[in-house]
Amino acid sequence: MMGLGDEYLAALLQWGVVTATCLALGSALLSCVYSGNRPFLSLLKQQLRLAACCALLGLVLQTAYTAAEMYDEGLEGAFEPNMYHFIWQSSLGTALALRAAGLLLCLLSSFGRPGLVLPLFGALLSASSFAASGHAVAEPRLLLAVLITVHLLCISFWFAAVPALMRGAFSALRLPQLRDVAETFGGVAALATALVVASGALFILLRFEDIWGLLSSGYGLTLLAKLTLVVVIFALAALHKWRLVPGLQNDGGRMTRRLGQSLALELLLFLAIFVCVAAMTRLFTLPHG
Amino acid sequence: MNKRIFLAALLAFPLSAFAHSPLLSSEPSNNARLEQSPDSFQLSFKREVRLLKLKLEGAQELVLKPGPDAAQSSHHELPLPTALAAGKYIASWRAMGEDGHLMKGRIKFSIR
Repeated sequence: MMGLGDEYLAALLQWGVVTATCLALGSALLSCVYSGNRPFLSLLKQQLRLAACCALLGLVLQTAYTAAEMYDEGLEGAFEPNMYHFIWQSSLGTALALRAAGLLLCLLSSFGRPGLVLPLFGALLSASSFAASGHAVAEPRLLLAVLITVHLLCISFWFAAVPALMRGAFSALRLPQLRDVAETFGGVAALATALVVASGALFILLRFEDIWGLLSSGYGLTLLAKLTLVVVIFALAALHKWRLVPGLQNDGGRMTRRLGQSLALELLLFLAIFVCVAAMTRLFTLPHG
Repeated sequence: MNKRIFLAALLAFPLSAFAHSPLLSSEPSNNARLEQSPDSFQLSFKREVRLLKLKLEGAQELVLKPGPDAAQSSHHELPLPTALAAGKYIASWRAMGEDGHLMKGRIKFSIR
C-alpha cells in the first residue's frame, strides 16, 4: 500500500522530469542560436541527448507510478491496463503525448544539421505539455496556456545555457570562444528574462484572485521561496553580464574560474527552483482549487 | 539532530495534493448507521471527476470499479453486487479531476 512517503516520491519524480525536460528543450532552443558555433553546438547536442533520454525515461517511470497511485494496490497498479486507459483518456494523457513527441523531436534535432523547424517545434510541444494538465487548467484557459508555455520556453532557454557555459568555462572552450558565447547569450537572455517576469507575473494575477490568501497557504509560501531564488538568480545574471563576462577580456584565467564557479552556483539555484515547482505541483493544492 | 529537524519539517508540511475536487456528499454518508445494506454507493463531487475505484473494508471486503468507458461526471453511482453483512465499514475512493490531479477520501459507516 502507498503511504506518507508517496507524495514525496511523486514530487521527486516530477522534479526529475521537469528538470530534464527543461534542459532538453532549452538545449534545443540554444542549438538554434548557436548553430554556427561548432564547439559550443557540440556541447549543447551532448547535453540535449542526455537530458532528452533522462526525461523520456522519467516520463515512463512517472506514468507507471501514476497508474500505481491511481490503483492504490502498491506496484500492482503499474501493471493494470485499465489505469493506462484512464491516464490516456485524461488531461494527463494529452500532456504525456505532447511532452514525449516534443522530446523525441528535440532528440532527433541533435543528429545531423538541426535546422530550425525540428528543435523549435519540439521545444514548443514539450513546453505546451505543461499547460495541458495541472494548475494551468483553468479559465481563461488559452491565455494561461500561452503564458505557461512562454514562461517555460524562456526559463528552459536560460537554464540550459548554465551547465553548457559552465562546462565551457571550466575546460571545453577556449577563452575567445567562451567570451563570444557568453556575450551572445547575454543579449538574448535579456529578452528571455523580461518574458519570464512578464509571463510569470501575469499568470499569478490571472490564476489567483486572492493574492494575500495565496501567500498564507503552503502553495503560496513555496511560490514565495521560488520567487526569492529567482531574484538571487537575477542578481547572479547581472554579475555575469556586467562584471565577469566583460572581465574575460582583460583577466582571462581568473575571471574564467570565477565565472565557472558563479555558474555552478546558478545551476544549484535553478535545481532548487525546480524543487519548488515540483512541490507546488505535487505536494500542494491551490488555496481555492 | 539535523536529520530530526528535516523529518519534522517533512511531517509538518501539509500534504494536500489529493484534495482538488472535494466530495460534496455521499450515500451512505460519513458515520451513517444503516438498518440494512444499501443497494448502491453514491458519490457527489464539486466538479466533474472520473471515479477510479471504491474499496470497501470491514465486515465484508469488496472492490467496485467503474468500467474503462465510464464517463466523467460530478455524480457517480456504483451498484453493490451483493447485500452487505452487518458490521462496520470503511469505503475508500479514488478519483481523477479534469486537471489530472488524483483525489482520495474515506467514508465510515455501519450496518446494524
